[in-house]
Amino acid sequence: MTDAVLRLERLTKRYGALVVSDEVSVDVRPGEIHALIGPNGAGKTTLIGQIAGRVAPDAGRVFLAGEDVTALPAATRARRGLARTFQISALVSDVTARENVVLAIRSRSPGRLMPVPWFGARRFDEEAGARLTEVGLGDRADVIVSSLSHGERRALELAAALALQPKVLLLDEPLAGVGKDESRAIVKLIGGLRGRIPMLLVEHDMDAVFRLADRISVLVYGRIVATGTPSEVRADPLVRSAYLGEEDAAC
Amino acid sequence: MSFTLLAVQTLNGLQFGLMLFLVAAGLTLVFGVMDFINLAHGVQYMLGAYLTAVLAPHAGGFFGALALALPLTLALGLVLERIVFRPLYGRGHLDQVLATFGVILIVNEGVKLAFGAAPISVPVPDLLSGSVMLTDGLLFPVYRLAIIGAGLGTGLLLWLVIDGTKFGMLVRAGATNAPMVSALGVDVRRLFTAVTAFGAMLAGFAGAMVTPILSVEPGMGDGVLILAFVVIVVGGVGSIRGAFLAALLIGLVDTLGRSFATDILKLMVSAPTANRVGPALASMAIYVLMAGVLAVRPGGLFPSRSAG
Amino acid sequence: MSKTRRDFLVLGLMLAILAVLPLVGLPGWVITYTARIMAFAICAVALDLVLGYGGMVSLGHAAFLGIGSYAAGILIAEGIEDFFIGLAAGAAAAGLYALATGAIAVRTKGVAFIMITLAFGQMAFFVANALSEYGGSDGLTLWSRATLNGTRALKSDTTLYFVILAALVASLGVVRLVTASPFGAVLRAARNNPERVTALGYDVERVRLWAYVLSAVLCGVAGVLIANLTSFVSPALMAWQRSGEFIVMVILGGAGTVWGALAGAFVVLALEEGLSLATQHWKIAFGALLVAVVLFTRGGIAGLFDRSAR
Repeated sequence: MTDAVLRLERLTKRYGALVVSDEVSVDVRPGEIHALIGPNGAGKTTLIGQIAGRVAPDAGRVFLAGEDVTALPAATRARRGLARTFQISALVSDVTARENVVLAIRSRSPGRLMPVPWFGARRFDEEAGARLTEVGLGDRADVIVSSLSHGERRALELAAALALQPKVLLLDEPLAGVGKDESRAIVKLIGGLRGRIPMLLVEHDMDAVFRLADRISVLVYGRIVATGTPSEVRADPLVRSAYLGEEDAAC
Repeated sequence: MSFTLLAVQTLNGLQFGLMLFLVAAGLTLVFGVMDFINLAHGVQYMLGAYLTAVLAPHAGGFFGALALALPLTLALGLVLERIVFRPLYGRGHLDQVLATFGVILIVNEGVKLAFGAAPISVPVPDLLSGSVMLTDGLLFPVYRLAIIGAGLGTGLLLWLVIDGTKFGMLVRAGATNAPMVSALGVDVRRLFTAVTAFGAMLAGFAGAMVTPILSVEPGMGDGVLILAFVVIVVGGVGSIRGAFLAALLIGLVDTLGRSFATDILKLMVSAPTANRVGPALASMAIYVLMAGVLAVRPGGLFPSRSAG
Repeated sequence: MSKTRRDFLVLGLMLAILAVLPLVGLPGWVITYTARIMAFAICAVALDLVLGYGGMVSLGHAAFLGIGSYAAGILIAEGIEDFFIGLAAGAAAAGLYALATGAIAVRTKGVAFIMITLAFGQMAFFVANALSEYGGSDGLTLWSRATLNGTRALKSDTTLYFVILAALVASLGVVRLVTASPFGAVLRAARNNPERVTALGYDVERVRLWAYVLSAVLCGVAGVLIANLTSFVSPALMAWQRSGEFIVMVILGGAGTVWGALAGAFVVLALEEGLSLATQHWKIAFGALLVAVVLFTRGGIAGLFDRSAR
């Protein structure tokens, strides 16, 4: 337990009478892809907000590599090694893909807020190029982000997150709104990172989740109702009725 | 004696706060709902005052002029909304600042052109002249009491409308979720045209009401506008309830600060120093209050949209 | 020729014209008036850092100008006449006020930020009005300009002109340097997408705050220069309309561009001067122009310079 890279300990968040996070405990172990699934309204977005540092929990704690980061703001958590992607692609859209990655790379360096031009620029540009090649955007490095396709932006978000050299990666619905082909490419990309970086993957696409995840936690009405390997979760009667059953019925 | 002064100044502060509320009420809704910054709201206050001052001799006195000024400021609000504001919804704040700043320049100078730069004074209407003895030794002008009454009455009316009518319900719903309201088949734009125009009339009403106690002059709306901004920020952008409380708070702090800062300082420092520093500190009071509230609650007292 | 090179050429040309202006035998008032415009241009350049690059609509920048000029004016009135002491005091006073008020303002965004900066600007205005010892609302007339290394060199309008020009060049340089730096890259990125920049580990509020403070320091410097130029400081320097005027300068010139703010300052002040020669009520025309430009240029003024930038 103590060697988890990311550990949520009984996180609780209420909005008025509504309990959106009800003593949520989840841990992401080194090397694993841990998926978090749950029907709409289960409280996934609020939970991610609490992990990333945008929403303050009412109770409970967040540990990053054994260190309590509950009181730290989002930017500090990011520098401590918690990288994330957003549900709706969030990138700096008026600059090139490369510049987005350079921002991430520079964030780790001591001169990240130097108020005068910095002469290490070329080295960063090259490293950014390498990162972009990694996610298949090598030839798109100098394109302005607003002209990239949806899938390309997804990949770019991954590249920027990886450039932070994070201890853990938080993926907020990386497949949302992505077409089938691009979706396949991103799944492959995420799968390729297995073992390199532990991930907490929040995703609606069940095929992708069951293909990628080493373990799955199921969030229903703010509470974790099951955690286990994909086959354990698939077999869990509680999950079937609360979640999968609904999905089946809906189809 | 000092108690009497305190009581009188408290009433004055209340009266000032209620006037600020009238100016801020419509504005905070428009800001909160349309995410629109309107610097030109202060000119409605000024126009309300000018219309009352100019029309009074021809319309059978203050009340006649007031009765004309209200629909006229409403109409002016509609016209401004239609011509200038509406194309700016959804544009950047910068465009909104520039265009409404332009409107202020035009109207302030236009008023100077039409009525001269000299202040105009309006006599207190006979019906409301004189003073009343509130308690032993506490004499207070009837007219200022009337303003307090009018302010409270309007506040109550506003509360009833916002809280109890379908129109109010739509405004509140629009404030939290505009797409939802338009999905229900309500024309949100028309709703907010109404709110803007109505807000303009309230500001015009405030301007009209103060004509007998303040001098009517070009640019008189600018200072009030900025105070209304302080009220809105302290109360929470988009919150009527917040605007009401903040307006009273700021009216009281400003008025009491100006009358007592020097005296209070004299208890701590020498009289000449107090006389020197007192007025400066008093003029800072409400801004320091604003800073204090925002330091603790960046969204104001009643934040209408949570930051997270 | 690349767009950037052309921009720098234009800037260089503008500065070159300013540098030779006092040498071609123009009447004295032209020199002092141009010096005045250059001092205001420093504010426009400084505001551009916050507004153009940072995307923060500050409607209180006149306060920093005023605070700088009051710091210089009060020092001279108290017998401390050294120019550099005044300069340091003006810059520091404006910077500190920006640090204190900005710390609160940068935590908010959009409409609230505009209102808060306007309110704090107004606070400085009212405090200056209440400074009865230093002239109150009438302002403070300075009996002399500051001394330069113990000499009265600044008594010459031409010398002061070149000092102001030097300060303008320095301000342009500082803003250019900062915007080309990692700090500037973060500031610009945060204008586009603060959430992303936060997720990359940058404290957006802190970056914005320091940009705000730096901008105020430059305005403070401009204030010191204006105080010396006119030998007069008054609350009118920090009237809120002046803050609006600064925004107009930046936007009309082109926000976030190499020479836009400088050009904007000259265009706006020359336009005001020209209109006021034609009519006493020139503000109506000026206001109408503003409204028209915003309403009838596609996508507003922002769209106008976006198109020319792309």
